[in-house]
Amino acid sequence: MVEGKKFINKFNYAFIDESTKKEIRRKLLKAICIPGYQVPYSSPEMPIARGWGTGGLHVTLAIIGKNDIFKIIDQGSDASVNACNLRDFVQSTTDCETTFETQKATIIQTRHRITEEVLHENQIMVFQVPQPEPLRGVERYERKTRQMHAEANYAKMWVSLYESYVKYGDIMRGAGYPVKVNQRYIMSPSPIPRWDIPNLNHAKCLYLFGAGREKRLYAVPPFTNVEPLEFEDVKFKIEDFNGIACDLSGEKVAFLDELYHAGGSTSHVVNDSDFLDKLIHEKRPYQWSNKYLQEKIQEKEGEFTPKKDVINGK
Amino acid sequence: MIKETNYDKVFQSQEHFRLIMDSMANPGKLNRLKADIHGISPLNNASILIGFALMNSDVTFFIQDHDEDITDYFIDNTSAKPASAEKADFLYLSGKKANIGAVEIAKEGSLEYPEKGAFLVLEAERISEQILEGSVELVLKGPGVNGSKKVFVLGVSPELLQIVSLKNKEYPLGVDTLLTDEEGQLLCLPRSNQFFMPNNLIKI
Repeated sequence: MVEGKKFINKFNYAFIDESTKKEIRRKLLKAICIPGYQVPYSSPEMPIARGWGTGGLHVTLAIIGKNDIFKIIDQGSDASVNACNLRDFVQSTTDCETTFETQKATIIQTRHRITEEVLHENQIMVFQVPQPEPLRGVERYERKTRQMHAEANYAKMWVSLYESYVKYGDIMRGAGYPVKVNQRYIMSPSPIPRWDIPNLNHAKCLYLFGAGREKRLYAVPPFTNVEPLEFEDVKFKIEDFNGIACDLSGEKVAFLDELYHAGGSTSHVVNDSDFLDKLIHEKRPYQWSNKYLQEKIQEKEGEFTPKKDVINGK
Repeated sequence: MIKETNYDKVFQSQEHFRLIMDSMANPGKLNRLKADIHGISPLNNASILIGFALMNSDVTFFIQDHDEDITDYFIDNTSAKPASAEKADFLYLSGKKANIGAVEIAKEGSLEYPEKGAFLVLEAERISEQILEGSVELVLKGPGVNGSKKVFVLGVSPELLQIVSLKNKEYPLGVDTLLTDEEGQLLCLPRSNQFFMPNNLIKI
């Protein structure tokens, strides 16, 4: 390309060429039509290496327009390196507005967290997924995992969960706990903590997942059943912070980060940076509501009195 | 040759895709597709704009009765290739009962690759959330619908819709349907949605 002569811009709007965008868009529609099913796609070259958020970027750039307001978080934070660089990239190729505010954003790209604040119907959450195949741990060949999904044959997965319980006394999966979508496909929710898993179920927003290195797209539409895998007698649980409070805000009902200081001491802060900012400087934002969170609140009722607006909406 | 020079391939296709995605993620939600195009009779403009937003040289399409003018129109404007009903990725059909045959043989994908199932673009006269005389009442349930949702479709034969529903019975195999009307409205019926018709035709 001869710069400044033939074309006004060095690249197409939103970086990806229109033909490839159409391909990604068709695959995204198919992913929405078959919730939880991994659709293979082209995963075009990007100016960052595969495995560093290219899948999320592909999805974001294929759907974004001039009127969108874009937010991106990495492990809950707007300020970490991955989020800052991708935000700059998306902003420079699309000229769209960017924000840190969860409620203001129309598209939220995320790495390994769902926002602590509840999302509404006009929002789209885009996940960067490192390993889209939930069965990879029990079956190494793609051909076979594809067949297992085709036949809904998830016996190996159930056995692995059972073995984990027999060996360790619990289902030892922290991030990326496998879920069943629309009573059909087992899906990897990307490495979000168990705390976020119930928020996938019957949400008002649309969830899109992009795995660039593995070349797979999948989706969870709004109001879709998403159930974590569990046994009748061994139930799914979310993380228990056991009465620990955030050092900066005093918050007890939110996903917390543990910080290590020189000298060996530790402290905790709320993981979601926008949620933390609002807790400190504004009034408490509306949080997701789910039965696991309610149980935690009830368990701790004797310990402290939760603020009324923790139990939102419903 | 009709070349749609007013259509913005970057921004209008993005805008229309977002509306299509919104309708697909929320079956029963009506969105309106609008653009300043010549169009081609008898296709609804919304059906044409679906093609412009999603079709390129990688995909094939089938036009009802193998209409040559419409086939040329899509080739000129999208570079997609024509194909028979059993091989096409996009099928453009009116709501007439006569099109049942094309729906029956449309691609439904395989269990390993269910996404190979076709997109069905069905043309209605009117789609509404309010009761319309002579329309078919559709009750939608499934992913994307909070409980259930009612929509009324005028100008599509109930037998044809019945075949679409039967086609999706072996989920995840099936076809994904986009219904358009003369006013540019769009209603999507993804294969995950179980829709049924309590009364065949509404009489007021």
